Amino acid sequence: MSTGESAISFREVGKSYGDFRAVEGLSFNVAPGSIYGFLGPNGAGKTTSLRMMLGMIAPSTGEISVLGSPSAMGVRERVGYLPEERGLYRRMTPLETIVYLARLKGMDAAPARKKALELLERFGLAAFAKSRIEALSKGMAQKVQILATIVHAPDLVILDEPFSGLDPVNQQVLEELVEDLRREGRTVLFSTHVMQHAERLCDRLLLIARGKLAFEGTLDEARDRMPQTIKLTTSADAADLAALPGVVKVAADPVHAGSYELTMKNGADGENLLRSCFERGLQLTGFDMSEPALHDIFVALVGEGAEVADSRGTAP
Amino acid sequence: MSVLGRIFLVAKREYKHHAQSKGFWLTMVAVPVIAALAGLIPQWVQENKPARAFTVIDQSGGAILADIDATIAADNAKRALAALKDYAADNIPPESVPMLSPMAPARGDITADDVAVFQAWGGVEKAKELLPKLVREGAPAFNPPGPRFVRVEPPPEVDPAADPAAIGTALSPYLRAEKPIAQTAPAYLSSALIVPQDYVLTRPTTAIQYWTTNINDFDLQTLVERALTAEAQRAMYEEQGMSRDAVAAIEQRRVALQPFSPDKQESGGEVEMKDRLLNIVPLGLALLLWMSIFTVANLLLLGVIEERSNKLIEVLLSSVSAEEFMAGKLLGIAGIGLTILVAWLTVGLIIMINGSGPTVAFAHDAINLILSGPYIPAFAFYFVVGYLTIASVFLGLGSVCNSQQEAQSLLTPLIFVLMLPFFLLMPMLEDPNGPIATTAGWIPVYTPFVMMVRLSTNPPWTEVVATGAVTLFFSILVLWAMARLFKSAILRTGQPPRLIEMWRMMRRGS
Ligand SMILES: Nc1ncnc2c1ncn2[C@@H]1O[C@H](COP(=O)(O)OP(=O)(O)OP(=O)(O)O)[C@@H](O)[C@H]1O
Ligand SMILES: [Mg+2]
Repeated sequence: MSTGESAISFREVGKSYGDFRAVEGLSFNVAPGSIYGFLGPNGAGKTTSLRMMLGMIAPSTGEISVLGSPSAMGVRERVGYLPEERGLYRRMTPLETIVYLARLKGMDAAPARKKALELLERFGLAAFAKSRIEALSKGMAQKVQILATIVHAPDLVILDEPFSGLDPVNQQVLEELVEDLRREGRTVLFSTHVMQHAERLCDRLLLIARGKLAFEGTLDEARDRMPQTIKLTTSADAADLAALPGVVKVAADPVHAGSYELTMKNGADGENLLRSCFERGLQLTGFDMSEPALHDIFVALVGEGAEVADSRGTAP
Repeated sequence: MSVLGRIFLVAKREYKHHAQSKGFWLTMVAVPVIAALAGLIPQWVQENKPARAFTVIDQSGGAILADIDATIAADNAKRALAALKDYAADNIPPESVPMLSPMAPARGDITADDVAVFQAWGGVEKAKELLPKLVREGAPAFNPPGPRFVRVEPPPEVDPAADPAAIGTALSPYLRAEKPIAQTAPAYLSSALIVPQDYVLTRPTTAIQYWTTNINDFDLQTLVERALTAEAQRAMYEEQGMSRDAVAAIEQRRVALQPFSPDKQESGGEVEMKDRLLNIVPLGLALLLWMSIFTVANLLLLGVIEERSNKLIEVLLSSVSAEEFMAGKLLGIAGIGLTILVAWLTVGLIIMINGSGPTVAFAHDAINLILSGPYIPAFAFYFVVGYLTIASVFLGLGSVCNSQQEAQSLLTPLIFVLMLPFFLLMPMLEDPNGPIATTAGWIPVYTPFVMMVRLSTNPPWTEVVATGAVTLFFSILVLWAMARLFKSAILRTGQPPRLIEMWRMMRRGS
């Protein structure tokens, strides 16, 4: 993929604070019009990467390109950013705030005002448009800030932990908003801890741990990295189960006697397993073959990434 | 949107935000009003002190009692005369005031002689008779001030021939305001003078006793001491064989030095009262400069701390660069500063012009001087450089602090340094060409305030230009360093950096 086609491109980007390497050798591309998830545990370097993306802090090494420009500052009017820590002028109203930020992004006063009112209306804040921010709840203020992020119809929207602090209904509203943005052809990149959102929304994911890339690809590619597990309830014993084709590991449920979790060889087929059970006359009372959740992938990959960082981090 | 467009938007928001705050209006209106009150209240209190009752027990024969009565009468007449002159200035068209009449404006202080002439002319009674024919239509009636001191007879139970200590004891319930001395005001005795039996004004062996519980009120004591001293001196001259008239003539004699100034060569060099007063105008301007800059620099500090602590800064920095943001803030707050300045000047002038007598003339002279001299362009230039330096330092400090408390500890030593010109202003006014003023004029942070004062003494233009250039260069340097500090510190979290780290940030940038 060449840089020109990407909405965002990182080439071996690193950021050091003194001796501490917050981000190291990070490379990835975000395709225009896609939703891109930026995942990682606390302190992994997500916010640092996003700030570099926005040109707010300069990378120590590597190259960044945003919408074809070497710095997001050059294309800031086409970028919308929701920072991780939220804050607004407490004495301004939502309407004033959105209009002000829209105007900083180059909109004229009248269209900015019209668009702001439209957005406030659509997101159920019309009644509060002219009350001071300090009179709003935290979640409402956060919605105002999200609206201010998208009011100028940016081509690229960067959201740092957009879902935290919102109730389930508003999380749903935000998910729909993100999907709307994609439908309009905009690129969305967001960071999160909450895997369900990434699972539902993202075309591609990036997993970062201790400043290093742990995974980059689609959800399916992530799943392929994970061995399939199958839960069984049976009267057969563990030895019989271990003898089945494709089974790598059998773990007995310590609480429910007769319940087992089988770990399958990569590429092994669940249906084959079921057929083998019938052929061998094993009595099954339960069979559960769900796809691995992103959560498990996350835990598995971050664990892996952490080990990588440990083993390399000690020897400079 | 252009760089300037963004700067202007930030500036506009900043201006609006502060202009809508209560503090802004309070600062604009309250400061000149408080300043005016601070000037007027002591005078008002002095003029409106209630009359104080005192009594005199003169065991020495009655001559001193007569002297005291004459002194009080002269004091009343002097106050009435001063009030009459003020009243005349406000209510009689100048052309209707006869030159030599007591109603003519005072030339300097009112002297004992003026009072004597006033009393001989007919005093308050005569004035009340004449005034209605002279005053403008609709003028209020002339109300001469009441007496400051009223002498009352000692209470009957006090034996005037007793030992002074015994008299003091007998008077103590009256002096302590436990018992009234009269039915009408002033009802309570404020002080008592006891002149001992063997007291001789020219050769006292004992003292005149002055009894009072208000030991910090020196008004009567001073008045009587002065009058009796003069009387004693007169008596002693007479003992030397001089006539009373000769003594009076000697007392009239005053030697005065006429001040001249080379700056007033065209008009013969003579220094008038007006010239001296107007030296104070640049001082006032320097003070105004200093106060306005500090008032708004503090707003910048608080504003940046707010934006930092509520994390707004990150949203803003995705839309404007740190430099644009800083420039916008500096510009917006400068607007607030200028608004406050104009408001102070306007309110101040309104107060002065609506004042009475000499303040009006002073206000006119002050305006003329400001308009004629180099003061307006100088003020504008010094405001810009002074503001840039101090405001950008406050902004830089704000960018490293998470709370006002953190800022306070960094600010305290700084404020101390910046307060210095404030203390230098008085010595500089006395000696605007002295070593303090000439040296301080070259110290960039102080240049605006010091040179503003020095301008009234016509310093060499080379010095004005050179100090101006130095301070301008310095303010640009400070602005540049603070912009770098701001840029690298504004997104930091956690403890404020140590001084050495700040120094590194300024040198290396982010
Ligand atoms: N200005 C800074 N100076 C020094 N270290 C920093 C600075 N900013 C971030 N770091 C460090 O860099 C690392 C990555 O921080 P970052 O904020 O990018 O993490 P994150 O992935 O966003 O974490 P979280 O999920 O908690 O938000 C952390 O260890 C943090 O302490
Ligand atoms: Mg973060």
